[in-house]
Amino acid sequence: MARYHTVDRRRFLAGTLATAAAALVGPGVLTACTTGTAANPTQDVSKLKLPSAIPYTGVRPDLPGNAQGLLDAFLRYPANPKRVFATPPGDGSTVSAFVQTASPIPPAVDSNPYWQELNKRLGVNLQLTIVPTADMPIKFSTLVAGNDLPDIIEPALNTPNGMPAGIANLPAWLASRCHDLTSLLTGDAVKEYPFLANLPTDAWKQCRFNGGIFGVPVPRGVGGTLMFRRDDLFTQLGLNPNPASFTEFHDVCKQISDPRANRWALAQAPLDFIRQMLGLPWRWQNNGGKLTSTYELAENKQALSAAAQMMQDGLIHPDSTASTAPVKNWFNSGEALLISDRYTAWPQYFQNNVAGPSFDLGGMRPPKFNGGGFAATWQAEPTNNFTAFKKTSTSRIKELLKLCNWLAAPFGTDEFLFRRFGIAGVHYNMVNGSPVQTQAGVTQTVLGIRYIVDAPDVIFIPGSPEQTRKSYEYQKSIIPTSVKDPQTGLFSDTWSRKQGQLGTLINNAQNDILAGRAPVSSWDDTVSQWKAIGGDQVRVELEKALQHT
Amino acid sequence: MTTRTMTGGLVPATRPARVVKAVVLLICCAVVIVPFIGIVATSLSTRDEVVRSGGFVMFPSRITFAAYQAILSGGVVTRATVISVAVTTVGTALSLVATSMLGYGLSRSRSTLHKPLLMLVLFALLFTPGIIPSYLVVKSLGLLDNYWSLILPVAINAFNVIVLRAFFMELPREIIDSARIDGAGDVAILWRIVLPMSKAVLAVIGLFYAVGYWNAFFTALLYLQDNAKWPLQLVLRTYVVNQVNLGVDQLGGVGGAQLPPQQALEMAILVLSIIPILLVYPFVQRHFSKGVLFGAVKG
Amino acid sequence: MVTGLRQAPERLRIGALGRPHVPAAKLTWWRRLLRDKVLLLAAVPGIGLLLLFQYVPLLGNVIAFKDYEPFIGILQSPWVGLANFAVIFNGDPAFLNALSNTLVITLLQVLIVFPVPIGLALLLDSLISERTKRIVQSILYLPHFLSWIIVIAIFQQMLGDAGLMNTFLRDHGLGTISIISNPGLFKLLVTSQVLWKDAGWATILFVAALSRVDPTLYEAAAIDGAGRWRQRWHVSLPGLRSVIVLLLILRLGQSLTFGFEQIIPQQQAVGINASEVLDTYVFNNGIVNGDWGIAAAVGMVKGIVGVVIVFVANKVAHWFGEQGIYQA
Repeated sequence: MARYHTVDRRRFLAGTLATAAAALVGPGVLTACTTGTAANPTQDVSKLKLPSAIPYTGVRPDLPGNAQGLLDAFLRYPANPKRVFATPPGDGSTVSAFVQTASPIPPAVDSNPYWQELNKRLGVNLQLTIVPTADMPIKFSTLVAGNDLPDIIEPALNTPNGMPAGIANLPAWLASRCHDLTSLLTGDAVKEYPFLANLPTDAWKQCRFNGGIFGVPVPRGVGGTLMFRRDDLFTQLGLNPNPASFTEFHDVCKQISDPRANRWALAQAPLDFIRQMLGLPWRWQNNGGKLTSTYELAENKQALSAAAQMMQDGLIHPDSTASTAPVKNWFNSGEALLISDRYTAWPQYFQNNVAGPSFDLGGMRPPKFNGGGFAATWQAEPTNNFTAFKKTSTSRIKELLKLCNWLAAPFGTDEFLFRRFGIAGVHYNMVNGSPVQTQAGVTQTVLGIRYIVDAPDVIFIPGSPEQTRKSYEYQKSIIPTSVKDPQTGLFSDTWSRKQGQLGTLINNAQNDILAGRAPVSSWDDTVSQWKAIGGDQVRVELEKALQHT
Repeated sequence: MTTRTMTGGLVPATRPARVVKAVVLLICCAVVIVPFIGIVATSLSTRDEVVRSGGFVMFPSRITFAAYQAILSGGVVTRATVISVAVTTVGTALSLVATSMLGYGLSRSRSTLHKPLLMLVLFALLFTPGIIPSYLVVKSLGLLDNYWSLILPVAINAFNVIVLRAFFMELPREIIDSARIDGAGDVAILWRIVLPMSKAVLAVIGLFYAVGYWNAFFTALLYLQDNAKWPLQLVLRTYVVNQVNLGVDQLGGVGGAQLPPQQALEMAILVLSIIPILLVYPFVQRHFSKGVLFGAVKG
Repeated sequence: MVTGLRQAPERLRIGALGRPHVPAAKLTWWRRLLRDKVLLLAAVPGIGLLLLFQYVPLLGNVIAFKDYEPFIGILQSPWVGLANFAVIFNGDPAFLNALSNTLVITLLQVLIVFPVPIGLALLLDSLISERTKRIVQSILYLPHFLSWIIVIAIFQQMLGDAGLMNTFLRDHGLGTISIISNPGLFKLLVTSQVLWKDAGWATILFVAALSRVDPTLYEAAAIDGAGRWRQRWHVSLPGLRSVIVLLLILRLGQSLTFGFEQIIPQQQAVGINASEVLDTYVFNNGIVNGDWGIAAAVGMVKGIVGVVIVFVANKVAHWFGEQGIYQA
């Protein structure tokens, strides 16, 4: 159809960055030949001393975590939360930051009491450019191209769908435009900022570039993704909540699925769940320094055919391939009883449920494919993102780090309570140790500052100590056997550039096989293509990086 | 003044033809209306119903305005609406003036530089500049974070220029010739003849521009740094985020305020952004009722 | 007013817009400039804006020949010649598939989607009641304002395997029809989506064009005994003809650009083979890596192809006696 005023669309089509459902873009370069004119600084981090990890002991969790990755859990917010800052850390200047948001835009500072109070407590005038997550890559590109950097920049690295945004020459950009924080944070230098020292060492690994530390991390628990299970409906239907093998799993799903009752077992194809059952790694298998991609392993084809079989047997919601599929709704309404999601979604499912007080959630551990116990789960990345600072004077950076120190005040402190929930009585009301947000709280507090830096994650499901305990117990059960991916904490330039294209290739091939459009044998072609486009190159770079850690 | 027959000259339809016409139109309207009923219904539905129905409600049993309340509270949307209205009004006026002038300037095929200028416009339609170069140009003009960056870069739409020019060139020669003979210059011809006779197409082009400005979010995303300056569509876009947990930043306890379900919000947004168009359209449509044009001129 | 005339011509021809037509050779270029000064001045603001905001940034398309990185800058990025064009000219079967999909969809669009608004406009034009006409039109154009994501979501709600239609069929014991995830139906699905979304909006321009048709022509035809269909054919359509031709040419010029926002969210359900078009192919193989150079290269190729198509189509229009976009 003739277009009449498609200025916006034509414009961005020509520039060819799309803000479609899966925003996969970032600034970068694809070349087979050159390596760019910018000097690529060395990525050898073997001599780098990360900030010492000095856990903050001022708050005791109700259910303790451990160094392996189990998070602390709190059944209620500590009464009389400690105030850990006597005076505002800021110096009265204006601080600008570029952050993302997954929430509706908050009111501007002049009509936002939360923001005003935040400025007061921080002691600065905080200016934010808040960008919807899907649009981060484009906006970030323009920032980089126009060199209009604010003080604090969150580089567009990931979109929450799990699809990465390809960025090329990230290290070179960091080296030339961003501040090297090594001298201020290495080893015991971080003691000056006790709450940054509280951040787990693994999280700092994501900030290593050019042989130094170039940012501060936003930590996340490594518990990662789990298979959520509608325990209330499982009990109601008399189903086995912990199948012990793939066959049993298949049978349980068969019992659940009843199209005439508008009910299916799974909201999406459980490909990753089955891969964990088979003992496949998330991305790479490390055999004494030699890496094999999970896609190259034979079990992967077995996983694909098992999942495709489940699809064919009608155990998966038929509209699951649609990109606008309201999968969370299906889980909440009982159209699907099993859904794969990050552990951070636990509170959300609980809050959004419509089944009333009988609603119950659980996590299903993957059994070993042929039985004989539970399989190992995959550890996720220990950070959500990291934040860089524009190159500036040392004194200025120290001021900004002081602010970050405040922003990283841990759970249980008064500062955290304000930062996350707002002003008592205005933005939330404390009910039995659970902060219950008001309308003002919901709209005003989402400034995106939690993506600059944050305290280590905890398990806290407001309004339900039982659910908190359940989530904690689940994590406790999987952490001891969970497997860390060799790529975590390593940097590969090719991966940084091409993860979008590689990811799309794999996704498309997987979808074709799952939907029955292509036979499992076509996977071999996909793997060759994957290797040729960049997979082999990534392997080479990662192996080299492994040697240097 | 010509007298119009009751049916504007058309022979009244035969019975079967009328029935067929009615059926066709009814089907077309139904196909469009049914989903829209769903849209409005979903925007007024409670969380329970939205979730149970898989995200799209057709017949809600209970009505709630929670979605609208959530969007309109906090002043963000109201402020953004004011901005959008201002940008749309100023932009449409500017665009209409510039486009009409350009269309007129290109409406005589023998005029100087006619071909090159026309090619300039045509190529602008077929070749679109990249995002980053556009950004750099706007930046170098000092228009970043300025409302004019929402108007000037998109003030001229090559398609609209070409369409308007075509309509100008089709105006009946005799009228213009007689004006010419009476001594009217090019300016007078534009002002007294061409424009008044082109009300219909000017209304349409104006509508296209207005809708373009009203719906624009991408220019705002690119060129504005301050969230307080965001126009409506961009603000509303943050409610329709990529299928991610809306409000994932919230940790508020059960029973407290939460954002209404995502689908309800999305639909409420749609309704809010369509209403202004619906209000404005009848005024525009008046200009292309049949015969209005000729009735006015021939008198 | 008419300056530079050396002698009175034997025949005073009336040219476009009523100016006496003087053979160009008789006037110097400067004189012609003066004669047309109003027109040129009128064009200045528009041309100025186009130059500034479209053409200057178009210079940035030089990155099609460079290995561009935003933080290095346009000027400093190294040259790579035609390497960026390799993504389309390397004979990749996936590319050829994408190209063929694009052409088939364009064909469907021209055959199905383009004529429907014309038919609707004619239908509306024949309505007697202005009020009905206004109401119907307002209804029909509503979907235009929905974003593609919403339109796709609506289609999925209605036609998905667990959507309204199939749930109804299933509840009544009838078999379900797979539409959304059926690769064979994808092109039709996409075409019907465009139809649903934009047909109503497109009628506006045609209705406006029809309103310019002199009603006395209808009366004259009626007096001559023409029935409704003859009136349509001999009065309405000719009035619309130039608009139709114009829009058709413009549409063809943009035929390689198709519904990116519309296709990407639906690719997963039907697979790449059935759904890849030129724009998504370029996206999946270059843009997704943030490859600005490839984007610019492909944009350039599309632009050139578009220009060629427009020129050819315009020529063809001339053969049929139509004005087209410009006259020779």
